[in-house]
Amino acid sequence: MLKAFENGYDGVVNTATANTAANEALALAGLHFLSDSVASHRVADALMFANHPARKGIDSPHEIRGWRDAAPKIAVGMEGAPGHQAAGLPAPLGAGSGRGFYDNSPDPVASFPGYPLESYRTFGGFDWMTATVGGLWDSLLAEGKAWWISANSDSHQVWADISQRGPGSDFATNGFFNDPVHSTAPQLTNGDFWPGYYSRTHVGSTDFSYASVMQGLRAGRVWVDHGGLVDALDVRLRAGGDDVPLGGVLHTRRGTPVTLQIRIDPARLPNWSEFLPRLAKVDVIRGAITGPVRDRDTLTAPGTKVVASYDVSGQTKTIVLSYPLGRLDDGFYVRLRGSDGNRLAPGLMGAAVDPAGPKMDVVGDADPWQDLWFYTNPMWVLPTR
Amino acid sequence: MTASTQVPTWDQQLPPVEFIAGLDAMTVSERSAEHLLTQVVAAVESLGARQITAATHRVQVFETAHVAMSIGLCSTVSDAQMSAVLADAVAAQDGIGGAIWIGLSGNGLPALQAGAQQAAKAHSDRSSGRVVRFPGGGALIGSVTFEQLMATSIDLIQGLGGDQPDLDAVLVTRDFLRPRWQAGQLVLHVQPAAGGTWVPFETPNPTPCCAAHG
Repeated sequence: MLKAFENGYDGVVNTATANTAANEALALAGLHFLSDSVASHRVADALMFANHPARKGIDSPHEIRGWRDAAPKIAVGMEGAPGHQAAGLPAPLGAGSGRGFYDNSPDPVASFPGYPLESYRTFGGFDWMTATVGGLWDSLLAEGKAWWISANSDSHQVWADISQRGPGSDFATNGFFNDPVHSTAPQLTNGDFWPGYYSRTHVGSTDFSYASVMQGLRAGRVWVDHGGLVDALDVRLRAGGDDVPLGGVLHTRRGTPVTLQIRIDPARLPNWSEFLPRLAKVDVIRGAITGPVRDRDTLTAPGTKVVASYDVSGQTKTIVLSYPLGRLDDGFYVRLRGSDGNRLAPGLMGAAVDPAGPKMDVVGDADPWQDLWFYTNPMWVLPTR
Repeated sequence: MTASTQVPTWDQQLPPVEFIAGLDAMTVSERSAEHLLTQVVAAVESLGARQITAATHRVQVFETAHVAMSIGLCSTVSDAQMSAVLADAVAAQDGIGGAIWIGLSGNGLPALQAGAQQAAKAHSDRSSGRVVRFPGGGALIGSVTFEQLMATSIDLIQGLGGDQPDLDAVLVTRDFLRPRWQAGQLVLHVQPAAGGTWVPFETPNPTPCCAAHG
């Protein structure tokens, strides 16, 4: 089935990566193929997350909304942070490229022309769509619809690996690289980490089966971190006697007090770079639900901003926070973000929206271990009639 | 478009006139448009043109956008002669006919005349376009200060991500500057780089998407 999917719908295989109506239709046909495959029990389950969504600007806001609305059980999200996180390590000990290999610029044919130049860079290792408070991701959440983030390694060629592609490889002709061989020196211009080594997607799963993990992903019970910044995290949105976890929607009467309850276990063991990462701050981001957008290329959410920031530096025990969200009036959503506090800057929507957000990564000088963040998926609360 | 603006004469010839043309050969990438522009620039230079500004433009004539070009210059040759040279340069492309637009009229493939017209207008309005060549740009190789940059036809330096360089800060040009017109100004977008230096937003050889992914 994977082969049929690739042959029929893969953008590279079919030379269909550009931002055109025909290619957008092909992507939707691919999602329908996956839906049909699940419905006909050809495959037990399927999920689609868009990788490195802002890297080349080829996924327009209306196309992302199109995926989500065409197959809401399958197209459930995007990478909040791309892989290739070692790519910004300075030369000669690293690739000296953009973090995440985000070193592109708009392509007049393939890119959505409405994206600003900043969108082609990462911020604290995260994709612009996710890292911008009040930006594209928030504009999707403010519609009141699910759209989740993940963080994977995109592990193709690992930084400092001592193997390399087999000699005489000809991918264009053969469709594969020759078997890897030992290399005499570590491959320092490779930009990736092994899966789980740096980027982690934490899924609230009820058991260890693939099916259960996929259910957790679909439900949005997901948070992501870099460099082992956080050991464990439990966030609940509570009102009346009810609560929901990440990805949940809480229904309660207008006037009911709503509280955000947060438990975070800071890292207790060194990460794979052999140091103990230290969580310095936790931000609460809140956004109004403004309903479906009229312009499907909307990429801002003016009703979303950082509403609280907790200094948690120096805490080694479980961090317990309770943030009162007031009595419920109109529906809203909340999500969390945290940082080691090493690189902070006002967000792209201004300091009033995000006074200390992730800073744009420096091309050729981005040590990913010195700039660590976690992001959670959102939770919504809606008034019952 | 032809304008009567007088600029200083040279070589004891007739007073040179400013001249702007749009060109469209239906190129699908900035890279191939730049390749063509190199030939166009060589052709007009051989006619003695000076003060050359050449740019690529995203134009939408058909459902899919493509890349058109524009060139602005000062020369003493007649409009008719310049038009003939430019028409020749775009017509020769891979056997595909191109089009040019000068002033109020165009020639070549009618559909592409529309693209050439959009490019010419963006150039004369300085409203949009990605500038490949500009007066003073040739000297900006290696590392330069922002003060040196501001002595060229670049009007504005814009730092990305919230930081803005000082005039004495160093830009490592990588010998590849592609400023963009924005609302009448020629703007160079820059970003912080290693060792407290800056680099242009555009990378000469960006990582191809999904190419090395195999």
